[in-house]
Amino acid sequence: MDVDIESRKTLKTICILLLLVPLFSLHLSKFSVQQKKKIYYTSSMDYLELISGSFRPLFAEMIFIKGILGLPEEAPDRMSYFLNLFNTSIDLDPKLINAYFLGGVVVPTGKEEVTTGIKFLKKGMALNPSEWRIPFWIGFNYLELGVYSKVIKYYRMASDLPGSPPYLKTNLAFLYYKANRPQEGLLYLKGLCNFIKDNHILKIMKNKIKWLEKIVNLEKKIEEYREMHGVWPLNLDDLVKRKLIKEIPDDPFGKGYYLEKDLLSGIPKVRSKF
Amino acid sequence: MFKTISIVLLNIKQGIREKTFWAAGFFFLFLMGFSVFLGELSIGEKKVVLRNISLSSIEISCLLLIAFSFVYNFYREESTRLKEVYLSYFSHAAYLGGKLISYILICLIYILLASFTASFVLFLNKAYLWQIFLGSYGIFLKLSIFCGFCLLFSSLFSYPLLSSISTIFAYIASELSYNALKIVNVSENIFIKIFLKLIYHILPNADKIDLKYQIIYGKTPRLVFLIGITSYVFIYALLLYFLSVLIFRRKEH
Repeated sequence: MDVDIESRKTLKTICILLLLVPLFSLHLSKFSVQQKKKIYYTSSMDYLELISGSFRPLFAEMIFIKGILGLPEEAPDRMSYFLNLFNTSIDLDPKLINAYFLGGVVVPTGKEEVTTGIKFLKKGMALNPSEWRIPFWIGFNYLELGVYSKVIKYYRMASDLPGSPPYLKTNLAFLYYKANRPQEGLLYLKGLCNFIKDNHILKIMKNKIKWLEKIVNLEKKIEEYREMHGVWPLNLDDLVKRKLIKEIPDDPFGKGYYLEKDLLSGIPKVRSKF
Repeated sequence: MFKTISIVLLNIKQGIREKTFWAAGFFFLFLMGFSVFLGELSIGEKKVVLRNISLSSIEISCLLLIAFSFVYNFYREESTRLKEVYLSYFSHAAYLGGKLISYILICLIYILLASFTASFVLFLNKAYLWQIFLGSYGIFLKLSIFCGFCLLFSSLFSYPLLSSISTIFAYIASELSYNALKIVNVSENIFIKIFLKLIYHILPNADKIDLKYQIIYGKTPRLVFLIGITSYVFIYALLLYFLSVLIFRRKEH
């Protein structure tokens, strides 16, 4: 009987306290709490190496996730902070491929940062020589910078590595065109066709070679026009008028060929409208 | 031999029924749930993160099982005078041998159950590899040594908390010794280098026994290597067993 009275008293006290706790919580939330200041700091590699033991990949992944979660934030000296973070994660686990992508492609903005991103990706390429995605990302960065010769170099490297998608080979035609090296592109791509076994990819490749061949032929005719008349033609119709070509050829990928003067050399180049 | 086997069977039955065995299991399940969440956050590396955290969860939860369940079981027998009953029928060597083998087998049962659960979660997330079981084998080998440490410290110390903490510290020391050696190799102090080298070779080489890094990327370790580390663990566990028997005999005498 006494136990029952005691239990009821305890229960009543608990109920009162259960009401008081949320009330106090509501009351306290009216007071402004000092916002915690975030410290953008990456631990030194020496310490992390010492404390990680055989859990190195786990530590690498935690730092990688920290980097992903921090990406939307406006960190001071953003590039340096995130590059440091992803650098640390790849030092702990060099096979964390997407850390190279985030640090080398996603984080950099602007020419200087993209160049820094390229250096970071090159480190990854040295550590993972059989990974096609890293030279592809380097090529992508060079594409942003407009250095087509480098894009071609790295896309070719990526296309030779196992697991690379077929579009890396087929897109080379366009890249050689953009780099003003269509003849070199033709030679390379015709040789590459001997090694392609997939009929579908071979068909796409042959169409792109035809497209590039037409550009090369038109440029040869432009040279002939200059040798004959001492001046460069103003447009492709001039070649038709001078009977160097029967008609302006069809453009299988773009919306027609046209002439555009190269700003550096002043020589007209054949362009394809996309 | 038969006496040792009877102790093994008794301890296994008891060990699996212990609340701490299932508490370790729940802790493992919690870590697995956490791994699925972290997997979603890791862009492009979900499968690797899932596999890594699965194996790490198995290892950490099993270590807690060894450090707390096995140690407290050993001391409980002392407090309930069950140890005296055992020692009146069995020799010290048979008693400790049975204890060690039962600890190792309970670890094996726990690791197998956890591996199957982890494999199921990985399969649902399209991250399953059969090599996960090889990773679990590496964890089993590593923790077998720490079953030996658990027995050694339990025989040595009078307090269970001291034995538990010493077991965990021995594990941490073995994990960190290789990296400490790498850092000290840069130092010009020859005595520190020699001292750390000695410590590294005396402590269990966790860096060599651990297979997690290869497994999470789908690589299979060579058979010769697996035989090598198994032999190393067997010899080390035997050493710890004989040390435990020596200390136990002197204490009980």
